[in-house]
Amino acid sequence: MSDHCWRGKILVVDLSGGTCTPRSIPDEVYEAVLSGLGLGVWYLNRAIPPGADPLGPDNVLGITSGLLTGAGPVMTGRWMAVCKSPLTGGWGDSNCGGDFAPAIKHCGFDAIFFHGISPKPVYLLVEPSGAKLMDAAAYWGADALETERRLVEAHRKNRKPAVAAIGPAGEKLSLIAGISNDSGRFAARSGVGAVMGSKRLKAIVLSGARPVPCADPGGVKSLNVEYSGKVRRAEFPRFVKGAFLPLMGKAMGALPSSIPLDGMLTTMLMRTWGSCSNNTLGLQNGDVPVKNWSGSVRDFPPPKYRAINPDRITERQKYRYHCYSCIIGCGGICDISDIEGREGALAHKPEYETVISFSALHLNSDLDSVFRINELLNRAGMDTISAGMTAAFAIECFENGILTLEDTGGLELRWGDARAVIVLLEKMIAREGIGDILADGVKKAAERIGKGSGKFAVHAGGQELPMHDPRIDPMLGVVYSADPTPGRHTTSSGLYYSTSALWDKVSWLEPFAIHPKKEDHEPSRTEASHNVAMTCFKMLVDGSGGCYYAMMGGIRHFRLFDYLNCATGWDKTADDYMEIGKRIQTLRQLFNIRHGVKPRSFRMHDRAAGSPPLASGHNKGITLKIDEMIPLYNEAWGWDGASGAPLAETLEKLSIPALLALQPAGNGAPDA
Amino acid sequence: MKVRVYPPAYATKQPLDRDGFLELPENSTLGAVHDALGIRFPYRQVGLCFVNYRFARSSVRLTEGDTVSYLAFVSGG
Repeated sequence: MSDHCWRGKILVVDLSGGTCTPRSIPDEVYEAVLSGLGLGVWYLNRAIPPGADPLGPDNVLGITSGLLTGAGPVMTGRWMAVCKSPLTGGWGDSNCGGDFAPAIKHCGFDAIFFHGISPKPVYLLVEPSGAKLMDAAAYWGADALETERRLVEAHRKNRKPAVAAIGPAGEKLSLIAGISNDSGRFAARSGVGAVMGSKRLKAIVLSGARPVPCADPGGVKSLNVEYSGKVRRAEFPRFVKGAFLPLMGKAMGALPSSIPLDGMLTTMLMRTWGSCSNNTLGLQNGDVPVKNWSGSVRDFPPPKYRAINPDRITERQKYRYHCYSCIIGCGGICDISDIEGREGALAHKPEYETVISFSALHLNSDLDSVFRINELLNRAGMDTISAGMTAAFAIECFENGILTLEDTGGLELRWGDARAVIVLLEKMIAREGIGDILADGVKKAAERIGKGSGKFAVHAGGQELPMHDPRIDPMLGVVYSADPTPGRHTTSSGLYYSTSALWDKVSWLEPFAIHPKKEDHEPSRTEASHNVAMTCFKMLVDGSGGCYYAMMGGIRHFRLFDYLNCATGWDKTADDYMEIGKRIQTLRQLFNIRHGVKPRSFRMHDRAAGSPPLASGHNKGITLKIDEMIPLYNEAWGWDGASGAPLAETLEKLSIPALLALQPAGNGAPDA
Repeated sequence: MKVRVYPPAYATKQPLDRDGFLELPENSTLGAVHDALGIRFPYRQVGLCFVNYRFARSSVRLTEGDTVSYLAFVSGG
């Protein structure tokens, strides 16, 4: 057995023919694009023919683990779902934690790729004895959490298997459906659950125990000791309470300079409150979108937003939740036994994105309803961001007379009425009446409803925007509008760049210069190059199985380049790795070009760009110069500035044609 | 001795070198960092400051290579 941290094997499942075939992957592929997202984009660029229907047999769904996953580095327990997205018609990927990522490698594979469509509902079972498709008739129709529970029970032998499953939303091909694992961790975006549902693949059950090797375990251990020591110490003093956060948000938002930040402070926030630390802080500094992106904290003032004080959320937390190999523990398991309509007694703590999608975005100050909705959507397997945005769209349509009581089946949709939203979501999950119109997200809904409703459909290229307002961070707006997976907040932003410290290691970056914040709002080549650098780094994180919150700590703490060299035995420089990141991103963009996507069509909704500008709040009067920023961003990648198509010389420089000529080959049976 | 400093936006940054390090006499305290960065009332009293990611008062003595971070909220989703 080799001592590097990749398996060199994938499992190819032909759902139409009912076969499972291990294949070998050349080492050159891993050196060129790592594993995880990189392996996925390499494979799908080769395997999906241009023009393929995202819900048809030619689409391929990939489930990939990170290059570092299982090999010892902490904070590397993420897996990726990759496919052609039915939401955008282009490249789709979605990232998830839980316990599933290492299970892929413990079965002897770096990734599993699903081709074709099964004639009947099935699930994939991978055990030491081999891989096979099993009849899923008994599970079809069950919610995602119940499916997981029953499959774990059915296949638990010496160890608990890891299970990823879709819920009813995915079965009914809702384009905003995701894939669940570990009782409510979600690969939620890009419509990956709809693709899994279209293949009649209910679940994936993995039960393997092959250890993952590592080239330099001692080196990895010393990196872990250094990083985890910092994390262990990183705690706020006890007198810092959640009620303190809005004041600090206001103060920090008012400061005039952009400065390099210590990413370890992010870790402190995550350890204390999880992602909900941004709830009220973000309302005051302008990060939180309010009233379907048309309002500000003036519309959701302190008497209302106190309901989402993160202390109120952690009050329900029974214990902290960690994904595999996590040393931060941003998650939590909460007691929801007193919540009306709930199905379980314990549930994952709602994330910031979920809380805001169903509170500030709807002007709803009923926190219990957010817990209820979180559980409802987790069980249904529906993306909480997209569902919240779609409900906000429906409310605004109703308030403006575009939707009527007749359209909604008698449901009165008003700002702040959480009970009506819950009924609406139930209809969306079941695809009943108005729910059927809304179940595919805001872009499709606006097309179906017409009557000028598009002005309330806030999305980028079909993907609903997440709960971070680019008007305080214009780099985020460029990513929303020009990334191959548009409307994505986890790829890059000015804030992430300021914590990254990439300039310590990357030769083509100057040290971070403290500068007035207003400069961030001016289109510039410097800003574009920072965006490229941050995105390259995120591509490496996603190729490694790294966590977004570790990434936000920056490379002075989460020393990714060193981890990669230790685990692989390579001796690459930071610049070498950044070139790998550039290659992965260019392959994602190339996928879109091959599939006829016009990247400029992904430009985000005018409302999020500040057109018209807000009349109140921190972002009052701001309009982003997004159309001037996008060409500079494209050029910084070596893509055509106007169209976004990668230039031929860029493809050659990144050796992409030669890379795509490589083939999976030979006997791919897992090593013993 | 040198310590790495992540200054708050309201501080004077001139004493820092381009990599964010501050040169201080041996046995300096955190208060010396506040002084060098011009952090005075009321920020000195109400601002949160950490040495090696532990909350610290101005009297804490620093050693070579310490990291001094002033609270700047950074979050995600």
